[in-house]
Amino acid sequence: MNLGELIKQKSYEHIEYEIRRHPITFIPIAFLFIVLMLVPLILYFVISTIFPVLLDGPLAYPLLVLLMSAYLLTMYLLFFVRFIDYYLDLWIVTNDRIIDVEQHNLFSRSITELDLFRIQDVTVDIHGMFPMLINYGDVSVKTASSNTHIVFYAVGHPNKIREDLIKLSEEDRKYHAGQEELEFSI
Amino acid sequence: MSVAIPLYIFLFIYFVFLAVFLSFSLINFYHVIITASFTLVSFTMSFFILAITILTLYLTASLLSGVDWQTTVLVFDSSWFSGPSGPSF
Repeated sequence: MNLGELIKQKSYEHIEYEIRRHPITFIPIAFLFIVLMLVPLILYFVISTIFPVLLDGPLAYPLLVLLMSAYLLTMYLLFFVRFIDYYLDLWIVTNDRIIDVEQHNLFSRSITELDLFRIQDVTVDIHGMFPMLINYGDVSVKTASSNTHIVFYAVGHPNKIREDLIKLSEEDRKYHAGQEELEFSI
Repeated sequence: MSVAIPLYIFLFIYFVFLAVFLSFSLINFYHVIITASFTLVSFTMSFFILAITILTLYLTASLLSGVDWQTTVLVFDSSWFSGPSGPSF
């Protein structure tokens, strides 16, 4: 499946942006999993040093190997789930609308759409030292109606995105105004 | 009275775990495909996960190659609850 199929792209529509979270936001998760993967090794050294008798006998060795293997595989799986959660949060900006695809967990996803000509306010939030240095932050897009509100979380170059969204919104508003005038004249 | 189980029971439990692991991994990969996110980044990450999974399974198999799975493990023995001269209750 391609992006066009996912968003049911219209004939006059073209994709301007495909935005994901900044890769730096995934580094703490990756680091946490590296630490968690080292836990069996640390445990093995602790047990073999303090309670070596626990590792004796015909049962201990195969059970420990199976447990360690199952633990590592579970960590890989959880890491992959976290990656999917990170990577599948996607914002697509076309010349007509914004589509927010949010992956909440493995079995929960929401897709929100917002017409560009309805945009009233675009706000950029950059909080903290790293976001300031690396240039990433949240971009909030609001419409006049209070129920539609899209936030691009931790995206790179938020100010450039804000400027482009305003530009695209103005162009779309002109296009829709032209369409309305055409309808009235007919 | 005593209850003993063969060691291969633990291996069966591990295989059940592997089946669950495989199904969840496939669901993950399915998500990548249906959300049009099959890019170089997601391919690299999927490949990396697959590679370390294969490596882990290979290491597990090689570490367990010499184990006699027919060995029985005592999980319950009534003598554990009795003294040397018979039941303590």
